[in-house]
Amino acid sequence: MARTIMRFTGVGGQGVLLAGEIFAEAKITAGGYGLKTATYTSQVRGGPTVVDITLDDEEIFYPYANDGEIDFMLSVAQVSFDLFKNGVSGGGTIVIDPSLIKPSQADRDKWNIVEIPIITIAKEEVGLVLTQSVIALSIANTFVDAIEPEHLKSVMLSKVPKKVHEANLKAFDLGTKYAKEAMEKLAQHA
Amino acid sequence: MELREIISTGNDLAAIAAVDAGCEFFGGYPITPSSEIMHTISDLLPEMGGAAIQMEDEIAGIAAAVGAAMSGVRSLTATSGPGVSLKAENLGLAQMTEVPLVLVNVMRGGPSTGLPTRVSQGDVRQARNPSHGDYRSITLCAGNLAECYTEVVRAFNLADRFMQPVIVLTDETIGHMHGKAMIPTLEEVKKGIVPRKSFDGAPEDYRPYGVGADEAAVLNPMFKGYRYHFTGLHHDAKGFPTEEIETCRKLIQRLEDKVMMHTDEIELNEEFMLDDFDGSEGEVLIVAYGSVSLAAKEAIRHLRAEGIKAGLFRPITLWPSPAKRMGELVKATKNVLCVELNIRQYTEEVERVSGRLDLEGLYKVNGRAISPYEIVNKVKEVF
Repeated sequence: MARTIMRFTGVGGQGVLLAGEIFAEAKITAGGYGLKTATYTSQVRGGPTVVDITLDDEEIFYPYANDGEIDFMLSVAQVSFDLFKNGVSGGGTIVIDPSLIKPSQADRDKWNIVEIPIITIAKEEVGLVLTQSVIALSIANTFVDAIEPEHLKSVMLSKVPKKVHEANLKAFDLGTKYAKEAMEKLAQHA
Repeated sequence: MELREIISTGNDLAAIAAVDAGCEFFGGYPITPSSEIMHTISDLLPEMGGAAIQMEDEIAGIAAAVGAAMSGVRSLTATSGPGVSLKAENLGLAQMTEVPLVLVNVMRGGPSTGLPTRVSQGDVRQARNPSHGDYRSITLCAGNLAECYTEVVRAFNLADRFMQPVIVLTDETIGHMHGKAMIPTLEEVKKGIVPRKSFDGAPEDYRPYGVGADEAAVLNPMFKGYRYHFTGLHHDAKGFPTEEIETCRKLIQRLEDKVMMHTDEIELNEEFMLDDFDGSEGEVLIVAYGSVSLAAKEAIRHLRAEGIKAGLFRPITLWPSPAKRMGELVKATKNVLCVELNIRQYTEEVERVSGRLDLEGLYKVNGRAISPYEIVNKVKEVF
C-alpha cells in the first residue's frame, strides 16, 4: 500500500483526537506503521485543532502531513476547514458537516467536497453526540479503504468505555452507510 | 536485545520508562506539553508502592523530587521550558550536593511562556547550564518514540552513576505523537540497572564527598544510620560548609572531572546513511537531533532518490557534546547543514568542535515543525 495521509479537523473539545489514535493503532496491529499527531492552540475549548494520520507499510519518520499531500480530510468546524483545507491535494476528498461549514464555489471546484451531517447523525440517530468521532472514523475509512473494517471496529471498541460500545457500534455502521451513499452519489455524477 | 512493541505517545512512554527503571517517586506540577507524563505516572506509581505528588508549583515539584532522591530512591520530575527556569535553583542544588535525579523537559516555544502547545528546541542551551556555577550537565535528547523510553531509562542509570541530575529533552511533537515503539523488555531494563554506590563501613568512617578526583560522591540514603550534611555551599568530605581554599578548588574541579573524564560512558549518537561517506565532492552531512531528525531522515530519503548523497549525524547525548566524533565528521565533509528548531543553539557547538565557521543552517522559531521538503529545498539551494 502507498502512504495514506488523512487529516481530521475541528475545534478543541470535539474529540477528533480519538479517531486518529484508533487509525494508527489499527494499522500497526495489522502489521504496518501508523502515526498520529495533533496540533492545537492554547485555548482549551474552541481553538482550531488538526489531527494528521499517516499510515504506511514502510516505516514513517516525519509524523506531520506535508501540505498538498493529504488524500482525505474531514472537518467539523468552519475555522478549521478554512485554516487547513489547503493541505489537501487537488481533487482530494473533504468531508464536511454542512450545518457547520459553508464551502465556497472555488472550494467545490478544487476538491471533492462531500456533505455528511455528522453531528446530526450522532445526536439524533445514535443519540450520543460523543460518537461523532467514531462516525468520522468509519466515514474516513470507507473513503480511503485503509483498514479492514472489522479490524478497525475491534480496535475502536478496545479504545472506548464498555458502556458506550453499543452506541459506538451503531455510530460506526451509520458512518459506513452514509459514506457509501455519498460515494454512490459521486459515482453517478462522475 | 529483546524488544517489545508498544503503541503509545512519547509522554506516556517516558512515564512507563521511569517506572520500569525503578523510579519510585515523582514530584512535579502540570505544564503543557509535558502534563501527560505526570498524569500517567500518577496512575502507575501508587500501584507499584511508589508515590507521585502534584506540588503547589514547579519549584516545590523539583524540591520534593530532590528530597526523595536524598532518601535514596530513584526520583523524577517532568516539565517544559518555563518550568525548568523555575527549577533551575534546585537543579543547581542537586548538582552541588550530587543528588541523582531525572528531569524530562518536553520543549515548547520560548522564551517565557512562549508558545505553550507548539514545538521548539529552544531549551538546548538552557539544558547545558540551567543554573549558575561550574558543573557539567548531562543532557540526553530523544529523537523518536522508542527513545522517549530508552533515554529516560538511560538517564536514571547515568544519574546514579554520576550522582547528579540528568536532563532528558523531548519536544511537543514527540511527546504527543502516537504510534509504534519497539522498546527493550522489562527484563532487559532490569538487567541494566546498576544501583548507586553506597558505603557500608563504620558510620564514623563515612566520607560521602571524600572520593577520588574524578569520582562521584557516595551518598547513602538518609535515615539509615549514616549521618552527613547537605548544603549548597562549598563543603568538605562530610558535606559541611567550608571555605578552605584547596577543598573548594578540588570540589568544583571534581564536579567537572567526574563527567568530562568519563564522557565515553555518556556519549551516544546515531549515524544515518553515513556508511558510504568517503569525503568525495557533493556529499551532504545534516546535523540534527530530537524530532527534527525525523524530518531530516525523510529528507535524506528524498535526496538519495534524486542522487544526492546525504546522511545524518544525530547526537542523542547533547551535553557533553560528542566533540571528537562530531568534529571528525564535520571536518571531513565539505557540505554541512545544521537543522534546528531554534536559532543556532547547537550549531555553535558544532562550530566549536569542528573549528569551522562556514556551516549552513536551517532554523525555525515559529512553533511549527520543519518539514522534510524545507530541508530538501535548503540542501538544493545552498550546496
